[in-house]
Amino acid sequence: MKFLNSHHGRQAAFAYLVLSPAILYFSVYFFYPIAVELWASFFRGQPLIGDSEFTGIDNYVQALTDQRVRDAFVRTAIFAICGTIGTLLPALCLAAILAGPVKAATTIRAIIFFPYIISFVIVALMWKSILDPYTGILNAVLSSLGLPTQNWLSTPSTALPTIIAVTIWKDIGYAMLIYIAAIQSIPKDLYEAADVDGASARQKFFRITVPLLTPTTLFLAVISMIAHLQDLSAPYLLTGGGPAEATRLYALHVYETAFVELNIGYASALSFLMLIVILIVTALQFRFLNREVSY
Amino acid sequence: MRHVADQRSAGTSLITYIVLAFFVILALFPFFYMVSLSLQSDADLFSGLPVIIPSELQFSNYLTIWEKAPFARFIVNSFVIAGGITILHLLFDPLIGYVFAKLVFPGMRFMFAALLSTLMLPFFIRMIPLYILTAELGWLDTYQGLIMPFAMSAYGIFMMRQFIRPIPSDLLDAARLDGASEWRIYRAVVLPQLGPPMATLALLTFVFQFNEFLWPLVVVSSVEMRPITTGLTLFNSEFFTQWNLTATGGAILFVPSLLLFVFMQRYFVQSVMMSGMK
Amino acid sequence: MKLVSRIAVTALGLALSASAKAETLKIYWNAGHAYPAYAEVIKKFEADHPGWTVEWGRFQWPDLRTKLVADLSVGNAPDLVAEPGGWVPEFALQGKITALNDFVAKDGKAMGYPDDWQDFSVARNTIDGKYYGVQLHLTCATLVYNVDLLKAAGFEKPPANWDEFRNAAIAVTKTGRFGFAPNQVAGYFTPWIYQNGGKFYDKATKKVTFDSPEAAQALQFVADLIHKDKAATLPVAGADYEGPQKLFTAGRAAMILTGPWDVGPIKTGNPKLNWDVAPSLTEKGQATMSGGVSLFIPKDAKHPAEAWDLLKRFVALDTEIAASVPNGMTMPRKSWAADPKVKSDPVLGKFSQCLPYAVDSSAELALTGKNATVQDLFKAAVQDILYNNKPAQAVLSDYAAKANAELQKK
Repeated sequence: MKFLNSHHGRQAAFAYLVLSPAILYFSVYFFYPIAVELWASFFRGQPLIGDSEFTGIDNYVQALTDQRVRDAFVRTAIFAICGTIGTLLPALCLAAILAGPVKAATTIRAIIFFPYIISFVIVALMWKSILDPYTGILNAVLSSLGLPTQNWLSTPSTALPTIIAVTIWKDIGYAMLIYIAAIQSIPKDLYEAADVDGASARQKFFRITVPLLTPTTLFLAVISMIAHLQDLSAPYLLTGGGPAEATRLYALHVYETAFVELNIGYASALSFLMLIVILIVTALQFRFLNREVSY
Repeated sequence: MRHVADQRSAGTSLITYIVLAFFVILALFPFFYMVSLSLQSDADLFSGLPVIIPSELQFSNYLTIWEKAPFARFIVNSFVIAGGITILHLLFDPLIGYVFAKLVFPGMRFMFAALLSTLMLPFFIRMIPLYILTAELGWLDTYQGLIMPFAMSAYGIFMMRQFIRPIPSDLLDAARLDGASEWRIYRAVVLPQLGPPMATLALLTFVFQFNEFLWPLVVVSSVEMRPITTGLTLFNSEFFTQWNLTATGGAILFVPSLLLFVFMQRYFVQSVMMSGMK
Repeated sequence: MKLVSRIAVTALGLALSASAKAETLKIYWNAGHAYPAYAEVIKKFEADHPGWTVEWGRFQWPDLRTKLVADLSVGNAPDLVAEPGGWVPEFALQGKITALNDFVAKDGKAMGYPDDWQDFSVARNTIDGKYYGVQLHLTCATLVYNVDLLKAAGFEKPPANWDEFRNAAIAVTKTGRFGFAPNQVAGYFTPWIYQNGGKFYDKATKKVTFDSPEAAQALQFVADLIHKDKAATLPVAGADYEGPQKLFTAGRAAMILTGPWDVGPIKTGNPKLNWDVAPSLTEKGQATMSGGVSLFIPKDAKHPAEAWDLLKRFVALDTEIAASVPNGMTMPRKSWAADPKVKSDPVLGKFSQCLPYAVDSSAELALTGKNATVQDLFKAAVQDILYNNKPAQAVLSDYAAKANAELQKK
């Protein structure tokens, strides 16, 4: 009883009370499906819909030695890192600008956020239409300006950068919004105190704002890396994985293995391998950014 | 004495406005194109040339959509699903996020790690077992079947945790010393400071769920239960996309999220923050 | 109060409808084939079966597949499914489809199955003498060309062989205009392979043969048209089929390889376009690819008998004619091809003439159960040749080796 009456005891009791519905929910809706898929990954064939045979870790071994899988992984890593940095950096700058006294800040924020609101299905249609080498606006504009045109999504060397650009375009507004919400939670007194000390705008930004945004940056970086490493819509809707597999990202490869080739066991194994990678990446990010920074 | 505002406006130079203009145009142009596409007639669409300003504005596209499919019902469905999920998130995520952000209890690290790990598998891999589960509960083709798999997510909990972290723990301890219960601390100390974060969570959750495609595809079998996302695919022919109608649907899909964003603006305005320790 | 009473009424209504529950027949269809003729068929079915409703699920092919795979894993299958070709053998080999022999034994004579169907359309849905599907549409792709553009370049008639084709394409090409717009989907390259005397798969040796010199020549021919002669467009990578049609409708490509599915879009898009349909090219032989939707009844279907009834109605001769003429879709019945309405239709008549020499390159491959994997590798090969401009023979040999390795595996 002493424990329960202590502050720690009360905290723990409260914590578990709050968490119990969540534990139930996640067990049913996440851990049960994950367990089923893990079980499926040890079978060859169609473990969930048809015949299959137990093959132990064969699927995992095959995945690790499959060149196509390795290539997909490298592409996805590039996609994730470039996408994350390319989204967070501009988002932070925009948030810093727009959290302050800029004319029409609210409207500008809304406009920059638009791309995130649009369903990616539509985004993909729009950009494919714009980027079409023969009937697209971008090439039409470029050639009228005398600039060289590109087969943006049809040239193996430009396809991946192009879809990275499209995903950044879509995500900047959302990262910016989260940064703004965080910046606005910083009490004004801190800035006023710095003013009294004669700090410049730049000093205030780098000494007060950025450090206090560390938890937000951690969140955005982790979520962004996780999302990019698993991204299916971007390659599926924009290029179908082409041209010549230049944009065949990992999740697309897994999806096709599961639904086109009906090789569900192998697809599960592939997913779990990626899960391990994501765990490691996330753990590293936490290591560097999970500091208790408060005001 | 120099004001904060003066120092800031000296920095809000021309360069700043150019940068902003660049991003605004970048964000806006494809959107304009989508609106333009939604108003194009078939002739413009098939001309094979990029048309920015339609030669004639076929507003009737917006009517055709309603005729070709029970679009009104699709909109209602989307709202019920996305709205329901958002409300559930607003109820649970800040509270659970608070628990992980500020409370100390045995097993916390492990549970938080387990929580985050649920984000690390792509949805379509969990989809089949979830579908089996939903079928066994008899929830296929129902609102509950569409809502439940998204009722809680590590994403929202994680976001709230990060927003709550910077709140000084001393504040909470002081309240505890005063004899306040944990629940009271959450309600009276933490929650009031979460205006912008909760508005953000609501907006992002709603938008994300409003645009969800894969789960409704699998779980819904009747036409009436389709949300807008899967409803739009009815407008494609076998190998040919009626882009103008699809864009119309896209434009309609876009509006509720936009309105929600505008509505949420007041919560984004900086509320009076608690000053530091006295 | 009003709200409360409204809720009460709704609840009562739901309860009542739940008890007087009508039977539902679930069917999966492609959204692009939701022809009025089929809507009529459904209405008539519901009228003839009081108490029954048909839930007409319409999807795009990839979505339909995702949904179907999910359904089959739960045992919650629809009653009748339309598939784009190749799924019947695939799922049949996994024991997921109801064999139709009993139904056909009873109704075959009256409905004309299999005798009234083009032979290979029956073969592709039959395994070991068991009927697993019935062909709904039978299509083939052939040369569709812009009469004016060719005439202006000096070609009064459409090309008949590869040489003429190449010359015509080069002659038409100007800035912003191309002679030929190929499709990026790998299947569209099989006609070229077969025209050159090649084959996709050899049942006897159980090996793929798309690395033969004939096949390599075929792919190289098209690749050269794009990269060397610059008379063909580089197809845009992606999941859609409509790029070539769009360019053609806009008058920016003079020739495309396509089937009846593009007739509607071309007509609607540019009614003034002066275009025509030509027989497929003849190089070492005349050939083209075939395709078309088939219907099957999943094994876990809850109402197979009613599904069969509906199926019969969909493939009835009247339905075929009613569906084909306004939509330009070609059908598998021999009696359909002989019908005067069809013969007199300018477009339908020409497309149906290709059916005799159309080939289903994957039919035999589908029986191995490895069709999807092999097609995936072929697609990668084609893209490697087109987009990386690598020599066709080397790439094809490489991928054929991989495909054969897959075929050897259990």
